[in-house]
Amino acid sequence: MKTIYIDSDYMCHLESAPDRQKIETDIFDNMIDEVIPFYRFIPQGHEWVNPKTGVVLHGLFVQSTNDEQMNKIIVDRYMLDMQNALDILGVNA
Amino acid sequence: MAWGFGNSGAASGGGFNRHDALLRVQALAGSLVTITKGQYHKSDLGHENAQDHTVYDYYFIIHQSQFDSVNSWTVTAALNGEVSINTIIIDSADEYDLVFTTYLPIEYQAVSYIDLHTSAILTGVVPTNHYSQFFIYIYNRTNGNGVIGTDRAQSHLYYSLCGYNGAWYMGYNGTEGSGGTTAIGDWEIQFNYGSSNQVITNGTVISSGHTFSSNVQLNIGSRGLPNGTNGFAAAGTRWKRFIIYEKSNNEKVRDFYPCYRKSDSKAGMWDKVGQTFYPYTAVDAVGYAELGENVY
Repeated sequence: MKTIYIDSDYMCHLESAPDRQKIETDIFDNMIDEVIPFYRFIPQGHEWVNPKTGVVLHGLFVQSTNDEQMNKIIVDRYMLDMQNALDILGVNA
Repeated sequence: MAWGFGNSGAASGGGFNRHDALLRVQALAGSLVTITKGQYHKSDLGHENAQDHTVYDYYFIIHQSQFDSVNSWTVTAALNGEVSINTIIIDSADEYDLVFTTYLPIEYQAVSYIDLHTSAILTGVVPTNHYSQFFIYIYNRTNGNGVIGTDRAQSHLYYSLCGYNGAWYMGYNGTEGSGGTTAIGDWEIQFNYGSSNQVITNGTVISSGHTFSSNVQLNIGSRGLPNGTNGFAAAGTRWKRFIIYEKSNNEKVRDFYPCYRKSDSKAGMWDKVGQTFYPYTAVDAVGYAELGENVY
């Protein structure tokens, strides 16, 4: 279970702020924290209108808003984790 | 406003995006633009395959970002030959992109991926002699990447493929084999391909010669039934496209694109072959679908 904060556009944040709603959810349990801010998270019972299309989105609705940036962060983190593991093992020292 | 396509005007063809066509048109300030549904030939738009004279329906979607001074646009088009026309006034002279979508009706929004968290797409295909081709992005190396399958969990009796502990595992004839390695990134996979029933991951054959067949329907995302207790559903896989072919005649029976239904935000996949929407089904009480960004 993670604690996130959503703003008026239902964009996710890791930090609290006066205009953000606190949410406890397990939806992001398998994700690294760095990618969470790229998500829009509309909880059950909430609605959000996409200003570009006029479409009303009904919760529960979880959507990435920038795949390319997310993927880059994931790969970079993976490479870092792999390097750290190699360092611990004394490989490529 | 000047625009043209087909044989009746000057087709200002542009490059082709994933939706098959992009036209750049010029509009004059104050002009009234009529948006209509029509038909076109790919070859008329400068597609490199000059032999493709397939007729496509098109829907106009104008990127909001192209119109800074206008807050809202509505473009609609109807199916079954009906035409809905919206007229809009262009505020300033500029070039605008009209993007065609040729595979999703206007009632659905295409997205870059669907990630099925303890949920599944029930394809309705019983894979007696079928092969699948699919495009996924694995972002999580924990177990369960890229599940497709028909069997109940733990039994591995039937048709299945998933990533587990860094390798690809496939179920056939009551047994389970493994091969290759999984990794974060894009994967193109052919499952049960050709006369040797190959499993091919990013161009590498990892299995050959086994018989993949089942008497229950194939699921995307969950290897099991939607009642949950015996399902095995994966997270960590972003599904971009999933195609199922009949091996006997290479006929497509499903061609799935991730999307959501605009009326109720229900996530799922659109089958271009049958022109049908397949919503996701939760495998357990918390099952849900995560979507990629909107694509046009």
